[in-house]
Amino acid sequence: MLDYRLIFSTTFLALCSLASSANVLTVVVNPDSTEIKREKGGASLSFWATQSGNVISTGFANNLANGGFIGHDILDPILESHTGGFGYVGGSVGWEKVWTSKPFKGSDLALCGSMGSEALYDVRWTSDMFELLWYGNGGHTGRVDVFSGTGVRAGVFNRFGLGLESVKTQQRLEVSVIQRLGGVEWSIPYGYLWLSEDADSLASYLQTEGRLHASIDSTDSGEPSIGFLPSYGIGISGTLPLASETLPIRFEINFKDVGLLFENEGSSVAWFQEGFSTTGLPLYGDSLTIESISNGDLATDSLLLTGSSVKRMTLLPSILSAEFVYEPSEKFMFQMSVKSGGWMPELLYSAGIGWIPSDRIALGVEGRYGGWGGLRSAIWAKLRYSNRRILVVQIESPLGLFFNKEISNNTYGRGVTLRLERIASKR
Amino acid sequence: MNKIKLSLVLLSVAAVFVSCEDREPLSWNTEIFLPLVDDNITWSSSIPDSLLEFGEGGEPARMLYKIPFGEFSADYLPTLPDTLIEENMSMEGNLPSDVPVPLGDLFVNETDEIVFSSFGEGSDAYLKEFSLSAGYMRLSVESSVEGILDMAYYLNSVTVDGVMSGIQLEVPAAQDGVNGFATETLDLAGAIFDLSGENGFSENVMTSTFTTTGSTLNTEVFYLTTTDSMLVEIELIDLTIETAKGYFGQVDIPFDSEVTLIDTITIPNPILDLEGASAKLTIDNYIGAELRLKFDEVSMDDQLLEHPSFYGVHDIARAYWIDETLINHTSLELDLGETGSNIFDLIETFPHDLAMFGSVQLNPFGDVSLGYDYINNAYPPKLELELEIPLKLGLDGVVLEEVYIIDPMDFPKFDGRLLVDLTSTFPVEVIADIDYVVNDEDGTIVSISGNIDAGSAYPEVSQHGLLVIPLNEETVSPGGSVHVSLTASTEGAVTFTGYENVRVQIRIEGTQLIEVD
Repeated sequence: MLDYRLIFSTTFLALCSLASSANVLTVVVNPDSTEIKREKGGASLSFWATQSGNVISTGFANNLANGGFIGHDILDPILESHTGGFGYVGGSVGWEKVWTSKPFKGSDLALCGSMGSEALYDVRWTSDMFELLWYGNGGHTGRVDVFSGTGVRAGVFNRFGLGLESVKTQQRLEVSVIQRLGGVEWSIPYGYLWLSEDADSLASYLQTEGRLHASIDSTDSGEPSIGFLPSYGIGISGTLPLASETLPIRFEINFKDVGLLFENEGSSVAWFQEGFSTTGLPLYGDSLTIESISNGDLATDSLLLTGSSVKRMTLLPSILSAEFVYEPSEKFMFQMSVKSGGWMPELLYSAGIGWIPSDRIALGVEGRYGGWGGLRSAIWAKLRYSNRRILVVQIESPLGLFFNKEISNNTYGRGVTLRLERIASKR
Repeated sequence: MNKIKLSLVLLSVAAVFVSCEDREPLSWNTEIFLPLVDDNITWSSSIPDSLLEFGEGGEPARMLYKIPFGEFSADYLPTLPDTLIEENMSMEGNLPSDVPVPLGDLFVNETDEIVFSSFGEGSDAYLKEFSLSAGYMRLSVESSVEGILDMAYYLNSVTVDGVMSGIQLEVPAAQDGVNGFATETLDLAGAIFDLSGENGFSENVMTSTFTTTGSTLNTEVFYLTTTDSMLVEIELIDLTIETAKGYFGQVDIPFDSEVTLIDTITIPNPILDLEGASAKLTIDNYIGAELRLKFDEVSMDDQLLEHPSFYGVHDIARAYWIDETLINHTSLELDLGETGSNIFDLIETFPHDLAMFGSVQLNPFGDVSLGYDYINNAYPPKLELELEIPLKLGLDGVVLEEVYIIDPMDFPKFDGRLLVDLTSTFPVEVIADIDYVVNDEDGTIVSISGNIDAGSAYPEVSQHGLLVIPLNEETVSPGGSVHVSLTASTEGAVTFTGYENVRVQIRIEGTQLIEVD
C-alpha cells in the first residue's frame, strides 16, 4: 500500500509542478530561418545521475541489501538474463554548463563553451564468473569457464570547452580540454578455468591487470598517502543539426570529447599472470603438495609485476550520438536516437513520443535499449517557467527509484536528469 | 520555483519511507566439485620402465635386466707414471779456464734418448706409440752463470697437431751468489708420442734436444767459469693415455664386482613362473689384444651360482682395428641358464645382489701381434649380465600403500563427500582399504573398504569401484591424509602383460554455505 502511495504522490507532484504552468516551449529554432536573430545565446545547466545494467535487477540488489539466504529461485533469473555471456553495470554522475554568447558584430558566429564534471564507472563480468561465484563449479565439468573480458573501471573527469556556434545554422564546434582527476582500472584480458568431464583434471589461467591513476607517496612512517595524479587530454565536441524546410523532421548529430588523453607517468600498475594445470590438486590453500610435484602432473606459470606506468595515450570516454525527430503536428513529436561511447559496452537506442499540450509544458515517454542495460523506459517533462527559461526533468526507469520495494524488483537501473535551459533571445 | 522546492522536500520525505530495515547476513550455497588426486598405479610402481618390455596380444610382459659391470675397465691400459728427468751440467773439469760466452750462438746442444721402462708393472710390455688425453711437461732451469741464457728443450718425437713439442726459456743471470731460475709448463693433451726412436724400429724410446745460447739481451760479455753449473729438470706429470700401440704384456687383472639386481620390485609373497626365462653373460672386447676371462665365483644374495661350464677359462679374440678405426669387436656369450645351472632357482627368490669375482688376462698367448696391440680408452670392454624373465607371477598381500595429502580447505558449513574412484584392469580381484585421517586434535579416522573385481588388460576390461566417505566442515577444514591400501592375491602364477593399471581418483563434492555480514 505504501508503494502505491509513494508512486502516486511522486507522480502527482511532478505533474502538478509542470502542469500548473501552461503552453510550450519551442526550444529548437529552425536552423534555416534567416529571420531570427539572437541577441543572447542559449545556455543550459544540467545535473544527472544514472545507473543501468542488464543483469542485476533492483530486486536482486534489494535481496543483497536485505540479507538472508539467496536461493536458486533468486539466482536463476539473474543468470539467465546474461545476454551474450556478459553482465554489465555502469553509469555516471555529473553536471554540465553549456552556453553561447552574443554573435560577433557583423557575423553570425558566436562564442560558445561548456564546462562540467563527471564521474564514470563501468563494470562487466562473464556469466561463467557469475556462475562460479554464486553457484560454484558443481555443474561445470567438461566445459571451459571463461573469465576474459571481466573488468571494472572508474574515473572522474573535468572538462572545459570553447568554440564557435553559427547562429544561423546552430552548428557548433568546440575544442575541449579534459582533465582526468583520478581513476582506477582492473581487468582480466584473458582467463579461464577448465574442469574435465570426469573431474579428474583441472586447468586454469588468469591474466589480470590493475591500474590506479593516483600518486602514492610513502612517508617516513611507512604509511602511504594517496594524492591526485591528474592527466590531461584534448578533444573536440560539437553539434550538427539538420532540418528539412518542407518536412517536419529534424536530424542532429552530436559528438563530445572525441580525442586523446595524455596519461601522466606514475600510475601504479600491477600485472599478474597465473596458470596451472593438474590431474588432481587442491584448488585452495597451500595446495602444492610434494606429491603433486613429484608426480610431475603439475605445471605452474606465475608472474607478478608491479611498478609505475610510463606516459601513454588513451582514448577519452567520447560520446557520439545521432537523433531523429519527427513532429507531425504541434501537439506531438516522435524521436529516435542512437548513442555510443562513454564507456558503454553496447549502443544505446531510444525511441519515444512527446505530447505538447500547451506552449508551456511538454511530456514524453521513451523506450531505451542498450548501453549497459536492456529494455527500459524513461519519462520526461519540460516546463517553461519563465519567458526564456525551461526546466527539464527526465527520469529513466522511474520504478527503479523505489529501492527495496517490490514494485522495483524488475527494474535494472535508474536515472534522474535535471536541466535548466535558457532559450536564446530573439530580436 | 517554490513548487520545485516543495517537490524536492517531498521526495526527501518519500526517501525516508524507504529506510533500511534490520539486516540479516547474506548467504548462499555453492556447489564444489574439486579434483584432488588422479594417480595411475602401474607396474612402473614396482618395476622401472627401463626393465619392462610390454607383452603384446596377451603375451606376458618380460623383465629385462641388462646390468653392466663398470669395474671391468681402465686397469688393462698401460700406465705412464709421473717422470722426472734431472741433469746437472757442471763445468768443473770440463773447462780448462773461464771462457767468454758468444752471444747469439749455441754453446750447448745435446740430444738424448729417453727410454721408458715401466709399462705394465714388470711385464714385458712395450709401446711404439701412444697419445695422451691429458698431461703436461714442466721445464725448470737453475743457473749459476752470470749472464742471461736462452734455453730450449724439445721432445723430438712428440707432436701436438703435427708440431714438435718443446719449451723455450729465458734464464736470468746469477747475481751476487744467487742463481738465476726459470720454469715453464707445456700442456701435452692431444700429444702423440712416437716411441720408435730415430731408426724407427725401436720401442719405448723418446728423443729430446737441449740447447743453450748466450742471450743477445746481455749488454756485456760474460764468462762461463769452471765453477758454473746448470741444473735442468724435465717433469712429465699426470700423463693419461688415450690410445696406445705396442705390446701390452701378459697382465692379470683381477675383478671384483657387485651389482644391485632387483631392488624395486615390491611384490608381496611373489611366486615366479620362470618358463621361458633366459639368463646370459655377454663380454664384448674392443681391445686389439686377446683376453682370457676366468670366473672364480658368482653368487646371488650369497647363494653360489652352480654352473657346469661357467667357471672354466674363456678366451676372447682381439678386436680388429685398422689405422685407429674399429672394424669389428669380438663377443663371447655365456648361457647361464643351461642345463645344470641353478640360476633360475636363485632368481625365484628375487635376489637383491649379484656378486662376481674373477680375473682377466691380457695377451694370454704372448706377443702374437708383434707389437701391434691397440687400445682406445673410449672403447672399454663391456661385461653385461642379461636376464629376461616373463611376468608370470603369483602374489598375495598388500600390493600398494599410498598416502595422499589433502590440504586444509575453508569450506564453511560443508556438506558433502570424499569420493575415491578405483578403476582396475589387473586380472586379479583387488581389495581397497581407504582411511581418511583428519588433521584434527583427535586424529579422527574415517574408514571404508571395497572390492574391485578382476579386470583384464587384454582385451581391456576395466572394473570400477567407488568408495564414498561423508565429509562435513569439521572433517574437511583441517585437511588430512587419504591412506589407500590395495590388497590382491592370486591362485598361482598369473600372466601380466605390463599394461595393467589401477587408477585412483579422489575428489570432493558437496555444498558450502557462504555468509557475508
